[in-house]
Amino acid sequence: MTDRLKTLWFAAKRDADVADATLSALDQITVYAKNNSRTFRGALVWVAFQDIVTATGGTIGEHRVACSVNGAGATTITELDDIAATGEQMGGVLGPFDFTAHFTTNFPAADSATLDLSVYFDQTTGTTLGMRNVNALLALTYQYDDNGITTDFHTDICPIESPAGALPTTETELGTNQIPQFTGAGGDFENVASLTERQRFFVAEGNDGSAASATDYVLNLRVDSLTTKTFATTEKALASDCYQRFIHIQAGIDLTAVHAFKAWTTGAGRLNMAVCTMYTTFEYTVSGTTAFTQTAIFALEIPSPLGGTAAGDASRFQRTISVPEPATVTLKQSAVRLYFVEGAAALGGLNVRVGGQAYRAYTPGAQVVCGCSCMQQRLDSGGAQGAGFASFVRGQNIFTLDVYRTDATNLGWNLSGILILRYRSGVAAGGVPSHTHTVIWPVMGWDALLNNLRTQAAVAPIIPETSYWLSAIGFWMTHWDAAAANGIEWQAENQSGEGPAAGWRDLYADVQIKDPERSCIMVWCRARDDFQRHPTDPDTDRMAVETSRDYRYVNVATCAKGVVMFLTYHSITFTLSGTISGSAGGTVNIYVKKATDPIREVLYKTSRVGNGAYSVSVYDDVPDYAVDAFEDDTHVGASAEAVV
Amino acid sequence: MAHDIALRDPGTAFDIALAEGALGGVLGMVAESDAAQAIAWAPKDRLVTTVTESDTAQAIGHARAYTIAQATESDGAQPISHARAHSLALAAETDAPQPLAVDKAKALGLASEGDTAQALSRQKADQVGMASEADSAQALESQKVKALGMAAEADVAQTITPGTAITEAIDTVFEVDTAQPIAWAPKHRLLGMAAEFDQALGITWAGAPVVPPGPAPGPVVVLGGRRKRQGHWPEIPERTPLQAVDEEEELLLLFL
Repeated sequence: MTDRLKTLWFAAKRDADVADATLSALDQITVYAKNNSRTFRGALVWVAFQDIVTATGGTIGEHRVACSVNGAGATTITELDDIAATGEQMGGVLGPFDFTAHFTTNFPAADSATLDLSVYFDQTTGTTLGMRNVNALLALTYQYDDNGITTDFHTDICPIESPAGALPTTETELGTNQIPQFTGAGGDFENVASLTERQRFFVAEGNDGSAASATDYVLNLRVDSLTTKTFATTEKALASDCYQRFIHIQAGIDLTAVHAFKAWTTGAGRLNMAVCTMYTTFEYTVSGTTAFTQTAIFALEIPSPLGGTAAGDASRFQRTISVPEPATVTLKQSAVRLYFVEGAAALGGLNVRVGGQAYRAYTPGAQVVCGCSCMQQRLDSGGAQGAGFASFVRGQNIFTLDVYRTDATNLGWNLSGILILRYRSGVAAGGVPSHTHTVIWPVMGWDALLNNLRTQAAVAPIIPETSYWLSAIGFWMTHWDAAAANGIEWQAENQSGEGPAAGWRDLYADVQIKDPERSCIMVWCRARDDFQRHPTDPDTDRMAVETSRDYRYVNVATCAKGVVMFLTYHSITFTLSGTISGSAGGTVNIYVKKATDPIREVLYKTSRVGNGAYSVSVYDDVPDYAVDAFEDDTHVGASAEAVV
Repeated sequence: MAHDIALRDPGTAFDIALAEGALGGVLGMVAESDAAQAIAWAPKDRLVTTVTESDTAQAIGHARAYTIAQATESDGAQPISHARAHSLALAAETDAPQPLAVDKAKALGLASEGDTAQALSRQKADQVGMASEADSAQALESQKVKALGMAAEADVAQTITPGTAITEAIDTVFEVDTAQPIAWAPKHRLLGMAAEFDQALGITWAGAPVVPPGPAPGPVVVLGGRRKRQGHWPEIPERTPLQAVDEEEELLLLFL
């Protein structure tokens, strides 16, 4: 038995408007979760909406999300706290709404079930009421035993590169064939047996980028010559620049070929730097699967404000990416995505590069800043700027992101984001579920109550594997405020044996400046440096990820919020071993370090008594390791430097 | 690959040094032979401060270590010379320096036994800070050693004298017989100290007053010299009246 943890992504939408104060159903979808000793760990829903007020601004006095799995009686989460309008339009994302208990109770023994989501908005002000382009994103996390299963599920998250500015006003392909081939010779999942698509959808997100214009726009998405998805008109009467999220569920895309992805807005060019991402949840046969393309998400942060006004003062984020999966490793369509607040007006001139790429210049367009902005830039060879890695290999890879602005007034604030990394590899002995993957864990459910401090008690993630390496750990925060300036902190409480063993530590701290309008802002916190990298990490300053602890959200200006944890990890292990000789018979402490690490940090520690064999599980077999041993002052030693 | 570890006493063995040696770094001390062999096999050793046993040095030599500050045993030094080590600050035993000399070691800070110095002198070592036995000095002198800070035994000085000419300073001669031939040497400019009473006798033969231990035999004026007091050798001012030679002073040396 090998228990695994997996997150699958699904989406639901409603084409028609949601009438004010009316519980309205999204289209029913089918969701999947492998049932082999299955335990649901998270069923989290984020709801996106756009109001359509044309004057005054529409305060939401109450909102609800209802969830029904397999036709069961719905569980409804009701929020009575106002989301007060500030005279502008409101659009954005609310969540997460946590329906884990409902899934646990109502999901049938089968591997699939129907899901019905409904939403309710009661607006108490505004001239034209109701919500438009409402959709829901579901992250379904469950634990299961992968031993003996014949099929399994997976969600591939494939980023599509943003346009550099506003979307065109006529049908236009973004980039070239940004929908990759999945199956067949040369496909990303060429050697995955019996791949069957369960749901494919596109998330399009970004800031309206209206540039103070009151002209409405209509978003259109299309794959090749399939039917164009034309969304309902985005109301811009109040010339507000909100963060918006659209979802287009598209079945029937030929998996054996690449496709053009087209996006444009009619009425006016809008949705600057639109971030489009394709989610494909599929089922595959375990036997016969000899290669796989994993999706791994790594959070990134850039201290505010953004560097500028020239490249010489760019902000930089850098980290190591470890690839433990078997050969042959090939980088697939991947990208870096940034979320940021432009300032009190539009951020002029945003320039981004990854590794050796040339800078790509973007044109943000949020003049009346009522939400965050975002962009997405590919770093594989098929992107506009070419590859961001000189080579992408098994072992260690260095990811370097440089960003700068040319604007000296609106500086770019609260910058964070994610690296969406897709790479193909052989299949490890532990199977695909042991590969690097990203899961979502509930932390702090959505609450519209405005406050300066909110504490979530006793969060205790469970990683079922005995041995695992955390490649990334962080938090995805949905933040709503109406302040011209705000400071945000996300903190965790130290437990016994962790650093000072008490008190709170900052996991994220940043500030932002914008218009004092009700705004939805996405924040990704990178916290890996604060958590143990594996269950027996000898660094006692780090926190154990699975230990129950309190977290708290602190902000200068009151805000509403919801938070989830994401964990990117693998459970591929290798055995480093050797023999101790010359001992006096006491306890020999053994310290394992990467020989390539300039400071030779101890990554693993074990011990044995007297002479004899020792072994340590390590999570990377590419670098040379150096092992030191200490028994007492007259019995010390070191190994040769070598791979495992 | 197995990461085997042999535990050792860091006073005599440094496996850690082994590892560093493999990276071509600095190896502060190698105390046992097998360890050093392995280091030698690593191609980039640059510095080995101390080598204390023989097999160690062999291997280091093969790896062309450039500097060995101290070699304390004989066999060790042999292969070092084969590798043309440039500097051997201290060789503590006899056989070791031999091969160094053969290979033109440039500096030998201290040779402590006789055979060592022989070989060095044959190869024109330019400087020997100290030679502690007789045969060493012989050879050195015959090869025009310019400075000999201290000669500790008698035969050394004998030979130095007939070696003539170039020895300019001998600070201290510790034994009696030594001083004798020194006195015979016509060109010594300075004999700082003779360390035993019999030496002074010998010095007398070269023209200095004789002052045996015990009460002074009447009024005596010291022309110069040094006396040992509590381990030090303060200089006696010129023409100091000498009442007696205190037995607690152990020695009294007169200066010419």
